[in-house]
Amino acid sequence: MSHIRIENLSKMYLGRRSKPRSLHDPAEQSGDNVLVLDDVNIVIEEGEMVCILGPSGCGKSTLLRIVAGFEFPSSGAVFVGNQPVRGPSAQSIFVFQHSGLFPWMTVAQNVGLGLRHVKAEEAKQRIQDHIEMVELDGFEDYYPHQLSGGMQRRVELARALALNPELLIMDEPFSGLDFLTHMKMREEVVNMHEFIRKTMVMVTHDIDDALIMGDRIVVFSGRPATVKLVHKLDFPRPRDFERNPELSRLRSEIFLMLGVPYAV
Amino acid sequence: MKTEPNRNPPQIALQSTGPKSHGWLLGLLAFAIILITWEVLARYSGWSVQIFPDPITVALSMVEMCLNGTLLRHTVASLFRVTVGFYLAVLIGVPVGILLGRSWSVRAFFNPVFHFLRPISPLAWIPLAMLWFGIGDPPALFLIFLASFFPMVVSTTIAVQNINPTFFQVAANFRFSRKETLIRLILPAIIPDVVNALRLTVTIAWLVVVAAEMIAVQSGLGYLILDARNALRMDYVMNSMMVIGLIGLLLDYVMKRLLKIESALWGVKSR
Repeated sequence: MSHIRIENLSKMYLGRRSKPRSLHDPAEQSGDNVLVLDDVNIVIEEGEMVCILGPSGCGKSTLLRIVAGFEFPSSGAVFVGNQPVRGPSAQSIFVFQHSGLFPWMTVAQNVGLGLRHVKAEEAKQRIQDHIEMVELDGFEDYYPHQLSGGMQRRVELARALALNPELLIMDEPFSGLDFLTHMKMREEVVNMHEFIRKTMVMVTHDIDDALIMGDRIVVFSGRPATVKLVHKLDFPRPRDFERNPELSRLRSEIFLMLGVPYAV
Repeated sequence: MKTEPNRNPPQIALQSTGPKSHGWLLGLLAFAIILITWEVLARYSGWSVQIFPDPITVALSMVEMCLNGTLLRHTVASLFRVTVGFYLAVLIGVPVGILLGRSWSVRAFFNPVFHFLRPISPLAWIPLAMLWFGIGDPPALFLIFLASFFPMVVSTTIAVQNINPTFFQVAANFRFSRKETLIRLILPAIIPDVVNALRLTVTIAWLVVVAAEMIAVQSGLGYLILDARNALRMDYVMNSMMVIGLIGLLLDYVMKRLLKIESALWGVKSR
């Protein structure tokens, strides 16, 4: 059964800048509405991990925010589990690009944020389980500012998963991490997905991330964003560009598509 | 490749300031210099003791005022007024500030009025305060309240508006009720800024209480100064001023201690 259906979705913003953003596009004049997403159609299956790629500023994040219910489409509709999205829901948890952890709460309190209505005993157990899952046991009483960037991201993941949501929405979850932490986190998220099999939608600007992690990738064009390519990735994990010439070829193709003709 | 932002930049010794634990000695030295200058001036300026009392005279009358309880009584009276007026201002000002910070329409409605009233010195209200509230504590309390209320409202409003909008989305995502949003998000988020505002505001309140006590009451350090002036006892005036200064220091110290409570500050660098 399909989990998310995005149907003919368009999003416009009221243009506020006094000068047009691009000189090449005379239609984008001051006071005009700026079209960010143009007739986007995507179907995401239950348990699938979909990675969305596209040039920066193209509206990928806007799409995620609409799916999460933080923003509303100008036309078209988004259905999650056959229900139209009407606002934020505890069933679709958004993992923020920059830390969305509450800095005044400890790790344990943050992870327990979604478990306020669960009985104390059970909540305690679930908090502990999820802290252990992201390998942060011992850090329960630390405040976010006492943790490294990578640890903060893992707490945020634990907080999202503790609620056991049907859908996980991630907006560039690895941005700002150092190279090794990035690699480790990527591996952890892939393993976690294999393990819990929840639907995940992830925006990234890292083509390698998308190709290594995704069950499917969606490539957007620049503004206004339209779906340029949808590609199913039937490669066994762990994936390796050297052992998979097909994957390598796809990588070059996407680089080209996003305007980098010669990828190193 | 991206690197993690450097959280702990290396400490570079910009100045050689010497051992910091001896800083208070320098501060004490400044007081000593003032004391000596005062003594020299009193001895050689040719002014009479009534106009410019020397340090010994002031010290002796200080002992006298301490012993007969005058100083204590008036200090307690002043502190009582500041406490009541200040607490009232905080109790009303912080909720109003939160409301203003959260609601665009409330802000649009009240903000012009607040910004119009704020620059009016509380002392300008003295005639009206006396007319409306008569003689005694009420007009003084009203003035202290006015002096502390606007700064508290403005600081709280700004603090609420500065809350990272992501946190409100997290709250919506985790289905926070309005009450939960207030208690688990807004209040803890603004505490560091509000504590800072308390520190600045209590200083203002302490400034105003002295002025307020010069008009309508028969007690307090402000009254003591006025009364001593009428009796031409400049040594009493100076004693009162010293006590006012000392208590101001003490209030600031207490508020600074509040700023050091770690759990309330969640890693905001103390300023």
